Amino acid sequence: MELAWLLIALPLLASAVLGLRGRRMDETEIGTLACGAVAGSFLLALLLMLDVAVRHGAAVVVGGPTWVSVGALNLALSLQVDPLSLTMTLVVTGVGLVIHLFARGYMHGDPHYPRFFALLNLFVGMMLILVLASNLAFMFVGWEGVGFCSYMLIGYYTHKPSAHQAGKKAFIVNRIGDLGFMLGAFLVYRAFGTLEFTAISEQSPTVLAAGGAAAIAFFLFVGACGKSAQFPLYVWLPDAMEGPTPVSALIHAATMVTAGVYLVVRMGMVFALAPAVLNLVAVVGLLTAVLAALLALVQNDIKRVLAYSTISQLGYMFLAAGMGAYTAAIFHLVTHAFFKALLFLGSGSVIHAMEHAIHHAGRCDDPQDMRHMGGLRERMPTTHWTMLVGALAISGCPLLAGFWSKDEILFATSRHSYLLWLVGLGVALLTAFYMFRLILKTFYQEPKLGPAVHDQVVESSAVMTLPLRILGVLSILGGVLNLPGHWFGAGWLHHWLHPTLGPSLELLAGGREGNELLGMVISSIVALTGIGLACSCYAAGRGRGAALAARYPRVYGALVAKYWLDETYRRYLVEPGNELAETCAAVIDAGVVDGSVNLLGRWVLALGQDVRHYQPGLVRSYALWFVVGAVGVVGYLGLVGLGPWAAGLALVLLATLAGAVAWVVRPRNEG
Amino acid sequence: MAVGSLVVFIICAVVAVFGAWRMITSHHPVHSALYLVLCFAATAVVYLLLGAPFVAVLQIAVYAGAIMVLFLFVIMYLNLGLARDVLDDRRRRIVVGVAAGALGLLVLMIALFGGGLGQAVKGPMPYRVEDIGVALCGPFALPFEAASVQLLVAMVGVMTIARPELRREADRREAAGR
Amino acid sequence: MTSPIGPALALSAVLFACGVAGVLLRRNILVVYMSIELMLNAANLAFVAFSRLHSALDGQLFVFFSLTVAAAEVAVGLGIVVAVYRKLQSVDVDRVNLLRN
Repeated sequence: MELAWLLIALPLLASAVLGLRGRRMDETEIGTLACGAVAGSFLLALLLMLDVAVRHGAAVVVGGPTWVSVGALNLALSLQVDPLSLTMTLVVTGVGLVIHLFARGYMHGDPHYPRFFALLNLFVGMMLILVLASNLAFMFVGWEGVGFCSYMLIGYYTHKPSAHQAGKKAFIVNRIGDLGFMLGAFLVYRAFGTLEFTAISEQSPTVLAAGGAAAIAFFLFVGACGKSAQFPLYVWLPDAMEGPTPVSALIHAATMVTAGVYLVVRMGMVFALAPAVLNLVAVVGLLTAVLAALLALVQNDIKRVLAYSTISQLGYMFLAAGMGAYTAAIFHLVTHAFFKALLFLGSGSVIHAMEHAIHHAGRCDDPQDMRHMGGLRERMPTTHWTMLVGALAISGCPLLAGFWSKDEILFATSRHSYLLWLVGLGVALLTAFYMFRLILKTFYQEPKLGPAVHDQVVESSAVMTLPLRILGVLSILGGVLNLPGHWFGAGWLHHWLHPTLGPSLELLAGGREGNELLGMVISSIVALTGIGLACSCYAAGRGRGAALAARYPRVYGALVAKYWLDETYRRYLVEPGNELAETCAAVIDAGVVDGSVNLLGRWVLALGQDVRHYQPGLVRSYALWFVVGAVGVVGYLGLVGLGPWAAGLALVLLATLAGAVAWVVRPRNEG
Repeated sequence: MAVGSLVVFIICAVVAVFGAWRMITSHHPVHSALYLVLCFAATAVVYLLLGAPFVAVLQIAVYAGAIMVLFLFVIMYLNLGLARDVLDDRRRRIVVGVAAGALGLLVLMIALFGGGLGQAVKGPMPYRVEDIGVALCGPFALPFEAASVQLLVAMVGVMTIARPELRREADRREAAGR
Repeated sequence: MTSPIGPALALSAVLFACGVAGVLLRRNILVVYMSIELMLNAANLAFVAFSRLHSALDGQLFVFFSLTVAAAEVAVGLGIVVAVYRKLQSVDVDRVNLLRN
């Protein structure tokens, strides 16, 4: 079981090596080391999976060093190897490996190549800590770690001030969520006396029977919102697209943003005992899904579309969790990792090609703007086909991975509330629509920048297209993980996760019986409708989109302005915060702190000036002081030897003497 | 207490105090030195009364005979003449009076009233000079040796401090100063 | 024979006080030095008195060493006085004030 520690250690060690010696290595070495570390972790994860399977999914806690041991508080850095954490581990290392391979080609020629891979590996290590930790404290270490790496990687292009801002924004908004996480953890500790997941799951029904689950669940959900970009803490994710595309794929699509979902599922028992909070989770998730999907409709930057899409799909996962369908949430997490990573990497490939083409044509347009693209189908066939697969998957096209996972979520929703189910279908429609808007604008329409640029576009190298192909295959076949029905091989993921999620799912069982087949048919129709609408608006240069925008200018304006959420934050939170900081700096820091230190200094100086006069430099004055001291000492001895009256007499004499001496040696012109 | 001892003691005490007082109030340094000799002599008699003949003789021989001679030698060598400084300003006199008086008073009281320091001790004189000699070569051998080393060091030190500056040193110092 | 220990201690105290007064009041270095010797002498007297009180020889032996040290100290001190006189052409204690201000 120490394999688990090795699994985490590999990327961290590689990161350290790259950080320290990376500048002296060449690109091949760096890429091999980085990818090798992640590959090693992936293989170890597979081995661990076999081990867990043999044990029928029983959790194993791999002990580690004690971190804090104060009084009754005892936090250990220990890992928990069970089906849920392994699932996440496989996603992180597997998809992470693919993205690392892609990044070797994408970042080729970048002047800070080693720093990039060092940070990327560090991120993988931190994420593994997050998912493999066995208690909330160690998980929080990973939580913060990935936040930090996210900040560093978003701001990777140090020459772009917008990148710095985006990084800061991400970190700060995450922090708000982290506060929720910490409050939740404190409440957990107060209730359970421990932060270990196994203990929490087992003891929840008894400890939280009298209530208290709602508060814990609520605060933990706030934390999840911060990390997983749910309303109203999603504003950082679109800005995070300032980072390199592999970063967007890995961190902001496949792994870090899913940490919130993982947290909710991991604390499933607690949430199961707080039905009100679960409702909140579902509603917030669905609300986010709707808002983000609407915003994705009006974006022109290819990566921003995908960013809002990610937020939207995360909303789906929270909807599933809120409906008590933890397995469905995890299932969608996995499939989403496949096709979202695919889409991001594909867009990376497109951006890469566009950049070169624009540069070679001597222009300086934005390579990420879809209004500059078009007709790339002929020039970049592999990218085109793989991205098409990804788009179909995310739209819920039948038989592809996304269909199965999305359908399971919708089915679970339909069993509890038809209204939410309908809204969910609406989101699916929007998803299909904006996704194909992206595909059509990028690959099918007329090249917007003319033949000068278009002829320069070349397909990306095999280093980049191979990962795309791998992810494409996974997007097609991924649904196999959890097919519905009761035949052999169906519901594999459900069975796999059952040992971990079983107890909480039992608590959550409820809702009407539904017709899954009917649901599948309806959602297929919805998906195809969405695709069809997109085609009618955007295929082959039909500019219906613009016409639609002109017809509802206020709606369009609100969407373009992102509901003015950023502005609201700025006005009510950021600016008062700045003012407070400035006040503190001027008044408290400069005035109080510096002032008191300076005051102390002045006192010392003044004291020195006064005392100076008692050192006249004359031998006889010194002698006089000797005598005064002698009187004091002898007086003390008298006190000891004779009794209080002697001491009293001595004190009187001493006082008289001291007074007389002070009077004699007071500062005079000639001392 | 035997009257004889007391009478002798009182006489010697008066002479000693008189000598000390005149020493500090005399205008001429040579006079001061001589008064101090008188004081030492009286003290030597008190030593005898206290049953310390060896120390008494030592007092005369070393203190009065060597140390005070050295003092007189230096006074005459410096050829100072009358001192003009006796008992300068009045304030100082008051303060010093208080200081010295306080110290003396305290010591006195501790001496007289502190734990069981009786007025007198009866009994024969317990020591002979031989006992002192034996102690010096026995238990007190180390301090004895240390004292001789100390005298040597003092001799060397004095010669270093008090010698007239050699011409070479003077030239070197002038060169550095310029 | 009987020894007047209490009175001897009283005498010692008085001589010591005189010595202190002399040190503090006189400006002539040599007189100051002689006052110091007076103080030492007073201390020796106290030692001898206590030696008689406790019937122990240690007090007298200490006086022996005290005397030795006093002799050495006078020699060195007078050497310093002579050296200072050479520099300052005076034996006024107040003129030895290079550390002033």
